[in-house]
Amino acid sequence: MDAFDEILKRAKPENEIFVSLNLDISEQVRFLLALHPEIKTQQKLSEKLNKQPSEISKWLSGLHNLTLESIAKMQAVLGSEIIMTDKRAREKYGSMSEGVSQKLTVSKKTQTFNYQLPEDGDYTLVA
Amino acid sequence: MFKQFSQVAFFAILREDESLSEAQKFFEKAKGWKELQKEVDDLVVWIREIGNRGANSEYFNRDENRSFALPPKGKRNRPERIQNNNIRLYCHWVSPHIVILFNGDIKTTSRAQDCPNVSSHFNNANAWAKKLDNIGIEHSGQEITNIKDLIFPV
Repeated sequence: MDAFDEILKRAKPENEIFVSLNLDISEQVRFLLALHPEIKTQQKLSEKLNKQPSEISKWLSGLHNLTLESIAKMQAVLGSEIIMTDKRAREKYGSMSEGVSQKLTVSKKTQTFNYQLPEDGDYTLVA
Repeated sequence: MFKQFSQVAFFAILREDESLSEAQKFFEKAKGWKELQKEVDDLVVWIREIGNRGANSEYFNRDENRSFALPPKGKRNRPERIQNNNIRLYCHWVSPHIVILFNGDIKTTSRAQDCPNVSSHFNNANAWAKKLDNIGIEHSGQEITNIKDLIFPV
């Protein structure tokens, strides 16, 4: 085992969760930017938020201590949810079972996704 | 190849007469940085996560002339004595599936060029990045297809 793997092994669960959640949020914001009719880039997002582009770049780096307030600001500007709890997703979308195709509404665009889910069980859709 | 994950292959520079690559040397040093243990652990977890998600170029936001430095710019709440994360691991972004890791250390001055710890690594990183760009890195997915051409004096 080399030093990289030793460090990975010693990392605490909170480190893992912090980075993973952070990157989940970054990816979700980038996904929403790609779909947004007007705000397509980090640059434009920073303009809408009245922030420097470098500040938004830090927010989305995966290693920034994002506050709920910052997430709320991005969500308000993008008009779509960035984080959704499991409970809220179930209330909004219900549970999905195998073989059902779902029509998803994303922002003001409607897209239809047809897919077969791999297993039985409840699935939580994260917006 | 230094490390391979589902989306990204991380490569490293290996000097002809040495057994440890430049990246391995960095992590050997870094594992002993007790006061910055949290920052080191975050960085390694981040590298693995990027490795499994894809190396989007926007994550590499710490420009260092021709190369980049990790960790990316971002701030965690830390004690006053460790307000700035001054760890610098220099790297070269090639594609969303290939990143070349160099070496680094803890930066102690405002400019990397002035720091006794990182100045040589900063200079090497930029020289190597320039050399690699001049030779041209041909790649397909996670594979550097002309890797045998990427041999140069270090």
